[in-house]
Amino acid sequence: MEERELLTFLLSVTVLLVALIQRRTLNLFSALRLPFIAFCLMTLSSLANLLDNTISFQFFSVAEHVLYTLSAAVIAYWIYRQEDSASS
Amino acid sequence: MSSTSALLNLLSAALLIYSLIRLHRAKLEWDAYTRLMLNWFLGTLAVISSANLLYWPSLLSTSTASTLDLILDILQLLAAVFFLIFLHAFGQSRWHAAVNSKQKDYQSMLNKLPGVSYRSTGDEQALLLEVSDNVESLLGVPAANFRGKHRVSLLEYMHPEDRESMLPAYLDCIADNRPFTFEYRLINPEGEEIWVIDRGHRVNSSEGKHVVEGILLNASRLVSAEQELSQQEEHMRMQQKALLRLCEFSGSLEQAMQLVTRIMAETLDISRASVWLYTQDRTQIDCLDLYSRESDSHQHDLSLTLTDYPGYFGFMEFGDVIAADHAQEDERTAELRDSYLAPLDIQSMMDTPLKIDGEVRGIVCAENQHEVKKWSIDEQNFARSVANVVSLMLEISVNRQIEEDLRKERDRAQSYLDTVNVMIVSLNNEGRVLLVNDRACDLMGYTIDEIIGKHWVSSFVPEEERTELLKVVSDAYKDTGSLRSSYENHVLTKSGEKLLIRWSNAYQTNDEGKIIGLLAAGEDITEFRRQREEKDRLQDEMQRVQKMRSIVQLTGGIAHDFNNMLTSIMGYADLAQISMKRNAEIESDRYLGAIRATSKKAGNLVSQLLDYSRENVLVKTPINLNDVVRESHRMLEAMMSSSVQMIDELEEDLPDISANQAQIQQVLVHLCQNAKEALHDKNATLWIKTSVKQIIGASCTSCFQKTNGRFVCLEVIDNGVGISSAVSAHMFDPFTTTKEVGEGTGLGLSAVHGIVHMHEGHILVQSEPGQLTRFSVLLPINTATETAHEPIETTEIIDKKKARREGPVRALLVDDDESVTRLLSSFLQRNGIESEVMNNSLEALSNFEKDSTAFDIVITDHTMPNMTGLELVEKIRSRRKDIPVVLCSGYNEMVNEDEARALGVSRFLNKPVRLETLASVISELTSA
Repeated sequence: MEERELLTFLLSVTVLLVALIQRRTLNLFSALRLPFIAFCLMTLSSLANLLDNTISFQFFSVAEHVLYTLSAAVIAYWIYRQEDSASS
Repeated sequence: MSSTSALLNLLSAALLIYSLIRLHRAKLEWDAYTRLMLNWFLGTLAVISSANLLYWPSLLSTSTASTLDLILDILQLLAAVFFLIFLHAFGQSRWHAAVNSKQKDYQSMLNKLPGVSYRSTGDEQALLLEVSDNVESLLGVPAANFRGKHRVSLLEYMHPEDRESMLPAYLDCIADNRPFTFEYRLINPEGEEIWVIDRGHRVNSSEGKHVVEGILLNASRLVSAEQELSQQEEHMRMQQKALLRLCEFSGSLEQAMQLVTRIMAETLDISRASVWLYTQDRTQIDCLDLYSRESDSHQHDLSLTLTDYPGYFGFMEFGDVIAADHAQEDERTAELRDSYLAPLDIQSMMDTPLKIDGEVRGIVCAENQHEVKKWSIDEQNFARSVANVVSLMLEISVNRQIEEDLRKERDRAQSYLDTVNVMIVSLNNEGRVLLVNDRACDLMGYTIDEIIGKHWVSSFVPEEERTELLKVVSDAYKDTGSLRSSYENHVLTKSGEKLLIRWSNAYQTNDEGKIIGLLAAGEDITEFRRQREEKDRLQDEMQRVQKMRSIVQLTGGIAHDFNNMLTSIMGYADLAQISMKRNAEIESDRYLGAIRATSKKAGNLVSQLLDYSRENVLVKTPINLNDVVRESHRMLEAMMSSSVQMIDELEEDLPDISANQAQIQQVLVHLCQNAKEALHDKNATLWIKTSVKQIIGASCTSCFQKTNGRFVCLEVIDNGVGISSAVSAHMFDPFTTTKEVGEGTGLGLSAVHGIVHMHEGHILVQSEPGQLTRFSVLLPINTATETAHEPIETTEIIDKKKARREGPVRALLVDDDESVTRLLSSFLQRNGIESEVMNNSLEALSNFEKDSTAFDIVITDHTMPNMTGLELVEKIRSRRKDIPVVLCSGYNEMVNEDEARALGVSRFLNKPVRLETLASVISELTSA
């Protein structure tokens, strides 16, 4: 297990915790729900990256990249929605 | 790295780059900081994805790969950090946007408030910190002017006077933390005053300073309305004051109208005011008063003909106010334009009808010259009120005139009542005095006020007469026919004296005929009654004196006759005695007959004297006037001078009269005595005539009463000197005499007057100096059927006597004079009647009671000691009712025939009793 990967994961989890603590704000501004999901996928990707060194490298390595790609797709979709709502 | 992972990384990198590009192009309302964090976040992720491609297909060395791992991990960390910062920035920006939105909402809401909300410093500068946008609508200054760096104080816009007065109180409220409400004026940049109401209170700012939050309300309209209301109130007050002045006025109608027009013009602030009144025939309307403020003058000699302005007066008949602001154009008043409005430059007029009893009787007119006046509702109401007051004044004026007329009429009636010499008293249904005249007040000694309203009977009638008088009054109200038109009662004066009043009474009724009281006219007859009683007393005295005088006169004449008769009796007695001694029976009998005849004449003469001397007790019996004259003739002859020739002319079959014979004789004597005084000639003749006369409309010479009817007339006529008119006017008054002082009493004719009128007769006198004097005494004919006074008892006596008559008649003879009983006893014995003589009435009664059947008749004298004849008769009658009783009396004053008959006397004989008469009576009463 790489210390840097663990640190990255912990930092991501911390951000998630902070976001959860501020969920009232997130709920109030529903526009941030998709970025939050994307960040969660990214955290899961980080977790997969952390696990591929210890359990099943093949699976978690693929999972890491899949989750990451999903996260990028969600962000792309969110950006797309933002542009629509702004233009409308 | 596998190829799959490489493809995924490639896809991720493409998506992220696409996102960055889209983000860059998108026009998002995000602040730059948020956008920057998001860019960095996405850029970091894009770098990471792109860098991961370097691992495929394991081209990097281990050291390089290790370095790349390190870089990617750092980028991963940065991406997390960027995301976190992005979240925060995004939240902040959205928060500020929301706050700004809310602030805009609040500002919008504040701007929609009716006033200007503000926040200012809580010091004496009162600098505006915040102010709502609508401050522009209040002051005409944009709100932005108050929001610059240079703060503006509200005091700068405040009216200087209000600022001075308000600022201390404002600071006190802030210091005491009390809410405040001030009303003051702001001055806008155009210099206009704006009334505002400032309500606020102190709050603490976020910096901990005292600030004031408040709201300014535009009160200009409110103040304007208040001022208008105040002005209206002032007008109303003025109008009420004016109406009050009118109501309190008490002068003449002319003065009242002048006051009305002046007050109306001043109160309405108009040029002219006037009052007009229709004429009786309603063909024109006359001006009672017109007041012009310009000339400060009144005039009233104006009139308008109704036919000239039919439309205008037609509108007036509707009875409502004509308020014409533009009078010359208004259809209701345009008719007046050419002849009235335009020449006087009257622009506005307001005409209010005067109504009395619901009918339009006139107009109250308000006019404004030279400029148009808009008549407000208040002014129209005021005009109506003035019209009502004028109507009342006119009604009061009419009522006053009526009251004045009534008062004059009452005074005139009162003066009539006061001038009459009788008491006039008017009583209402309760018996209280409504009206009384001066005469009544004078007599009673009260003032009018002391009598009016008092209960007449309770207050002014003696207590002993009240009950009877109240009953009379009560009966008069119960039965309208029972009012006694004439009534006498006493009235108490203030001094307690009693006046005898003879009242003439009448009902007082209202228009419906209902009795509302009594009207009584009273004559004070106290003095009259006293004089009449005195007169009666004097007449009685006069009659007595006259009788005495007559007796004295008669005595002189009669003494001569008596002496002659006594001389004759004595002489014949002497001759009879001589003849008896000679046994010359025939001569003796002749002489005794002469004695008897002379004695009879003497008896007649005494009888006349007794009749004449009777008291004036009016016991009337049917008598024949011829008999009276005949019986009195001798006495009158004796009274008259020998030179007077007396001639009796008596009508045969003269009807009887109901009279007292003695008094009729007295009348005859007085008239003859009166005639005697007038007869001085040698050929003096006195006629005494009786006749029946029909009198029509003759006036009684003594009582002046009109006389009609059939009378028995006794005339005494002489051819003496006659009676002058001066004497004849008073000859029946007492003590009127033509003789010298001491020769006559002057009561003779007064006595004649009294006696004749007591017999309901009258006296007619015809006399002039030098001609025959004729006194005609008219006495009513006795129309009652003459029936014999035969008592039933007598008939019964005779019947019973018939039944038991056997043997001689037995008489009980009672008289205290023994000589009389002896004579009568001898006479009765010679006539075959047995008599038992009693000289004491008590003994006689005792004897009769022993055996009441022992006698057939009782003959008794009346005047006896111990028991009178009448008392004896009464006792005898109680024992035996059927026995006839003869009562003899020589003095009729003690008893009269009617009384005697009522007590059971069968026959009444006057003494001296003629023996033949007694025998005849006894025979009659005891015969079959």
